[in-house]
Amino acid sequence: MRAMQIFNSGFFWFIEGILCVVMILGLRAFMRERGIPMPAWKWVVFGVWVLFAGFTIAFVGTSLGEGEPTAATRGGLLFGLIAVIGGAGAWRALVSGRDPGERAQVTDS
Amino acid sequence: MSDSDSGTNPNRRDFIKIAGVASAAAGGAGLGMFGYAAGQDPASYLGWQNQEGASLIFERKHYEVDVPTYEKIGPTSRPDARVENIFDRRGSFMRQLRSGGEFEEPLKSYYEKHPEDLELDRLSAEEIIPKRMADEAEYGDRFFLSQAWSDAMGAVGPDPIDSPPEENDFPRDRRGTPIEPVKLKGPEMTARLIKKLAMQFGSTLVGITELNPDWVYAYPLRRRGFENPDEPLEVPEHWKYAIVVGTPMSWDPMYANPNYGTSNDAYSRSRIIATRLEAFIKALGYPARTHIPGNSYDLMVPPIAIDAGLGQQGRHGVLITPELGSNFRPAVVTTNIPMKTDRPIDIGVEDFCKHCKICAEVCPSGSITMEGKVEVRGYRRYAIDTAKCLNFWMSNLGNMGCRLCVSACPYTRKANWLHKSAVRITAADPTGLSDRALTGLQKSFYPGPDPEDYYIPSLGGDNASYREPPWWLRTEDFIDLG
Amino acid sequence: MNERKSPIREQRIVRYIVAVAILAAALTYGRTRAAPDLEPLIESIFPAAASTQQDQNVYHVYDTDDHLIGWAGLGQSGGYGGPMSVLVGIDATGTVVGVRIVEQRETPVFWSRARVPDYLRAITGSRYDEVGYDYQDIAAVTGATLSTDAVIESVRTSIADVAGVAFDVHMPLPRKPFEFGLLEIVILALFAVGIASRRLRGPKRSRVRWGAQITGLVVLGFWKESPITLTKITAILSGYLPDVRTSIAIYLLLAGFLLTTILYGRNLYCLYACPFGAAQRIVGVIGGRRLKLPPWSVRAMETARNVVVFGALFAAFLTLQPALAGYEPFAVLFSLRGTNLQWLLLFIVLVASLAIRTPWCAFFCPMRTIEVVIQDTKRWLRRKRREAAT
Ligand code: SF4
Ligand code: SF4
Repeated sequence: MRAMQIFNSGFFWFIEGILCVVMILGLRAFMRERGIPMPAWKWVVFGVWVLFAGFTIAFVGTSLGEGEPTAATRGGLLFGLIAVIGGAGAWRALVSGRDPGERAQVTDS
Repeated sequence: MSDSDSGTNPNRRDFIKIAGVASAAAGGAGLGMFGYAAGQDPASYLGWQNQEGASLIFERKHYEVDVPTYEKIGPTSRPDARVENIFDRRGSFMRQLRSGGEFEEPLKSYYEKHPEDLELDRLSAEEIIPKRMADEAEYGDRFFLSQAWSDAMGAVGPDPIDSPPEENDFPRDRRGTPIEPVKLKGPEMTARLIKKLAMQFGSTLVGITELNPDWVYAYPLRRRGFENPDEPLEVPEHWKYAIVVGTPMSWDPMYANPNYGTSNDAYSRSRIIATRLEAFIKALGYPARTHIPGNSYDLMVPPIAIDAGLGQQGRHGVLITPELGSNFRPAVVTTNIPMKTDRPIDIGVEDFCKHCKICAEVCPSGSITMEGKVEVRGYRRYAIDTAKCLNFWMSNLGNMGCRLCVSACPYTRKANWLHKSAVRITAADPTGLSDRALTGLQKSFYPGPDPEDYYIPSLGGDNASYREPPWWLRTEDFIDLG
Repeated sequence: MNERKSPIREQRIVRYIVAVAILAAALTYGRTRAAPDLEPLIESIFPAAASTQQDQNVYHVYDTDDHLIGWAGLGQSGGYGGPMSVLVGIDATGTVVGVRIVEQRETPVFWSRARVPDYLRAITGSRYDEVGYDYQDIAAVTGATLSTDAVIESVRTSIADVAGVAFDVHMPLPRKPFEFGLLEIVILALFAVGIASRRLRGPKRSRVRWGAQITGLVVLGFWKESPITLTKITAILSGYLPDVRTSIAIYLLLAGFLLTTILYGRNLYCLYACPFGAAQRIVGVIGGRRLKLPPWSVRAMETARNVVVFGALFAAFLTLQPALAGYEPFAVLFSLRGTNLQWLLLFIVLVASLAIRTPWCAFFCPMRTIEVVIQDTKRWLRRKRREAAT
């Protein structure tokens, strides 16, 4: 039980922050490789989705921790559904606007 | 856009991509673990162990209003506890029923005006209690541990006061000479000190208000110490301020209401806090008097707590605080030590209760109204049928009482990020959309048994509880019931 | 899979006939099962009851000395998921002494929410001619209007029956007005739009259909929550007809569904009105639905669907509990109500909608099964006619 308390500490959020930065770098590298432009609005879409997906996971965790399995199940399914559908839409938005010329150049190298 | 880092070093690029995916996975898993930890975080219990209010996370400043959120609509009067307080009336009823003959005043004229209450009071004596006793013998064993626990919790508590205000409230030294009040450095500092001390004494929340005499019973409810308890009670001048303190009931058993939870634990703590506070104020040379649960009150507490900015009143008649929801058992200290008072708050409970009605749907005795408010002694409030409510209490196995309306109220959630965000959202949203959405989510995410299932078997139920009891209250796991 | 052009095989028609015959047998068996035993209920209202004598819907109750101590009236009315019978006990002085629910065919979730027992408790103790029938507030709050109304209706009819037999008082039942509101207008409009747009082609037709479906999603879904469900169909087939005056919508929807299927071969309910179809289509647009399923799996899932529909109907007919048949997750989407299984089903179906075209309609929906049966039968009949002509 005490070990769980690490997740309530500032240190945990420090690690979580690092992971976030790496995730963003990863996405940036992926998009560059494919030659997909990443204007600001795409980062906003991405951010909103990450926040919502994170909320869903944390909701399930909290509900289980509180001893409310029904809330965990139904909340997981409901918010998870929104996250998956939103994620599919967000993904298609993110990979939109690919410039074919750019892609050729990158794959050539 | 042929920049060097992504163009020339595919290995590094791949690494970053993989690291990105891995971070997303680890971050997501971490959030889940965070959620789990937050869900069972002891700090979210906001209980006895969190002295000094370290984990109070609500900034009341944002929610302060000038007038309390209840509505005054006519000439007001003070409540007559002898008939309007259900415990007092039921006590007199039982005594007079046993001695036979006609009911005495004020019961007699009250029953003439309210025959339905006479019927409910009779029902309790003639039908409900006998049925309970029969069921107790057959099904009561399950609740042995929870009753033992409840008794133990209630065993610690100061003796109630046994002299009238003019005698009891004024501080004296050991030889009986009055103590001179100390000189204080202003009401603001005094309020700060008193609040800090109340937290020190174990209070989870504390608020200060000027005492509105409308909340003082017209006749003393706490009969002991009063020479003639049937004389009207004058509100003493030195009851200028009211300090409200209190703690929540233990959360896990509270969710296992109506039969596993108990009021005793919080009662006992609130009594201790208030008594310590009385002693502290008296040591400063000022008069002070406790008003403590179960029934050692001279006044009604929830409206005073509202005045003191601790919360608002819900449909179920219970105080709703932003931190603990309805799970708060208050006590009051009246005094005249000059203090800066708190302002009432508005966290949107009035609007929320208009739609929610979960407590009314849950209540096994149908005591909570589905309708709008009615006028009671010049104020508008939701009607509560206390006689029906007490009848259900009397029918229950396990610990005395019910408290299901407290358990099922959406505000009654431990103080973690999830539920406190919900409170903030409803408080901030003026459209009422969030009220409806959150009520809908509450109903589907946190279902409980049907109201009828809570009844004792001989009334057609199966002694259900809102949630399963915690492991340490399961009698069958520890005691050989043979 | 919709435009299956191959000539319809005799074998299928035989299968349909067998299925319908089995269902009819189940229903007949369900209906002929013994009526509920009222004796214990009457005794719970009149503890002194020793014997009863039936006079249509009213039971005269006597004690051991054969003194008449009161009457028990059996009242019935059609609820959402079937009929609702209530037994009202009235003693010799005309006071309601107890009310019991005899059979309950309502969806359980609705039941506990309607808190009807509270109402029954409240009227106990009133004189029979002073009982109030106004419980609007509860109904409005819980959204379970029909359930509560059904109970109140049953109480009303049984009290009226007892009043007539015991006190020779005629208590006329109020004639309910037809409830023809926005919902009904919208339903008619949606079918009208569907028929009219048969002449349109291409993007224009698609635009019209989008408009209709979104209207359906809002009105038939989130606002009125009144899609066709298997529960409602089962209730009607079992003979528990909802009151035409208050439930015009379901009759309009069913009529529209059947007529357009028979006339045009495609039912316009699914294409233009069904709120759940609209929800899937919107999700499909978001996801792009690019997955093509192999034909064998499509056939397998269609068969599975037909089997599930048959099983649900069979169970509901056998037990005479229409609510048993309703496996659709509609209520979860529109008002967050349902079992955990329905929550899971909703999740699966809507996630699948991202990749597959309207998976609920194709693989789960009972309406599709009914539609296919009608289409096949129609085609088969036409062929028969052609053969007869040549
Ligand atoms: S304590 Fe129980 S019986 Fe009383 S009002 Fe609350 S839920 Fe109803
Ligand atoms: S359960 Fe709902 S209606 Fe009742 S007091 Fe709590 S918020 Fe208000």
